[in-house]
Amino acid sequence: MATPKTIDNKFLSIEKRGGIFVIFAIIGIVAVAFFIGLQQNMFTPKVNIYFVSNSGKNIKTGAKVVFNGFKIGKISSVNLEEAGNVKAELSINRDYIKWIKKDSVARLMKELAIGDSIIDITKGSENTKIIAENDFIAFERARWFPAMEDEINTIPITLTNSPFITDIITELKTELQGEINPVLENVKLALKNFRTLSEDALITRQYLDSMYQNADSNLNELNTLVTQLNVDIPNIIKSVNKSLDSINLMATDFRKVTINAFAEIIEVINDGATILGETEDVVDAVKQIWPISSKIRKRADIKEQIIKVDSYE
Amino acid sequence: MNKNLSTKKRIYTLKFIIILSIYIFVIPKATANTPLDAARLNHKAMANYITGDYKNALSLYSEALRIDRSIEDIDGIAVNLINLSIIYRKRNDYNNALKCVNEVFDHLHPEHGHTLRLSEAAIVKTLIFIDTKEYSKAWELVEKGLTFPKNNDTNTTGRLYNLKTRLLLIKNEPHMAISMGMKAMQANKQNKDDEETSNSLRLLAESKTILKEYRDAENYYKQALELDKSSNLSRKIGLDLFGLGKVASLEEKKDEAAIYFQRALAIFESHGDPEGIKYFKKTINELKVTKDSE
Repeated sequence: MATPKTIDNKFLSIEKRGGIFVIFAIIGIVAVAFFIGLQQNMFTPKVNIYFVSNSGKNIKTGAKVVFNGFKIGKISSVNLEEAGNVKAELSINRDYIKWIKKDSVARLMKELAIGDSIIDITKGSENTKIIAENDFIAFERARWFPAMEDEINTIPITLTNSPFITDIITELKTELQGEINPVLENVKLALKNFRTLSEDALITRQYLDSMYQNADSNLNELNTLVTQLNVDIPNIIKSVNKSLDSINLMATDFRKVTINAFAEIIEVINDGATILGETEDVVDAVKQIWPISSKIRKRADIKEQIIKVDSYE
Repeated sequence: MNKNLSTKKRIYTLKFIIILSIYIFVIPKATANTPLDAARLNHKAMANYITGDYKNALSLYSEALRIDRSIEDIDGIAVNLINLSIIYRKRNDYNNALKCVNEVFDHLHPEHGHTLRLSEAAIVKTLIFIDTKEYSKAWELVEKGLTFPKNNDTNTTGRLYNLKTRLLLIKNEPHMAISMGMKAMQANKQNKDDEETSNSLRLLAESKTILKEYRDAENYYKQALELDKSSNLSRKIGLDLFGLGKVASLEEKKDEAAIYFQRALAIFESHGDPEGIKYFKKTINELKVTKDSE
């Protein structure tokens, strides 16, 4: 006689529990994909505009597009055109396109003194029309950090041009002029008197003597001033030297801080790029999974490009 | 009890089918390599190459090559091998550059319609041999490149003629160089390739300078300058101005020469072109030597 199979009560609801677990896991994956998309503004309606540059230097996919310091989009693609120019596609949030006019300019610049490149859109004229979808915007490059770095390197050389030094020199000049001008005037007067006296030499010797005394006193005054200047000028030079030293120290410290910060920022940027790359991979994989793949509009077929090598190089 | 058991069996079967479907339809699709993946990597690599990030460009082209190999896309394989060779050459890694370009010659055959890629590969390999000063090999290769059936591809023909003109100038045969330069110019004009047309004009100017036909040389340099300016090719503009300065200097027009040289140097410096500045200094020294010996 066959005995009926018995099932342990513990296993009666295992399928149910397993099913719930799988459903929660799927909901979790979808939520993560959704939030990544939300963070990347993938669900915000976009408008594409373009600019063309003769070089792709520092123009990178994913770079922020800002208007008045506010992020309004990003560079969605950078492609090399047949003519050798670089065509960049800017993906702008539809809500913000109204701020971009036909005469606005896309300026490639650094967000901070050190950092990644961004595209800054300038405010166009008020009376100009709003740029249309798929239209081209003018492009220019702003000054780069490397240029600033050059300036930092030349700080000690250009110290003499700093307003601080110019102020000190101007002050010194004014002070010296204030002291020397009365003396010179006295000397001029004395010489004039002396000339008059020499013409009237025969008139009175007493008068001539008094003039000699006058010249003597002027010379004494001049001597006193020169002695005073001898004491003052070294002190002024000392203080100028001290200031120069402290400015040099400041410049060195600033350079050290800049170099350290630069290394850290590069690391952060690299981490960011890795995370972005990984996110892109995840999104790509999700895009290809049915039924999502059927809902995504396919891009036009792109072909692999060959680098055009120049016969003269 | 029996009803419960049959429900459980159905659930197990359903679960099995779902899991099997995921493995068969979803996972392979999400992980498969497609020509689009290779093309996207190729475009990313191109962007890195343009910005001068050769290291990243190399790894992206290698990845694109791997995908193309996995799906046996012959054209894609050739394109990425040629691109890799160009970048290795830029990094002065001539061994790897030759390895890549040789692989193109090993796998592609003109009779299978691969003439365009073979011509491109011939251009890259010729340039490598010019860099390594193996001029006889370069000559053989450029001749071989010109024997491939044309496919109406004047683009590579014009460049191959330009390379032949360069080699003739290296061999110090300016008369032959002029006749080849003319052919190159014609082919490049026909293809509306301004960059290569200006290269032909510059090579013609160089040949005329060797022959001391300074007026013709000046004319060619000025035409090249006009084309390079319209294409915004700063390095080439610098080379044209420098050539004009050289011609003026040989004609004893010192003031004119000085202006051209200053303009050329300003361009090389603002462009941050160490090669241009090096070439500038080298040629200035050569000019000094020529003058002293005269």
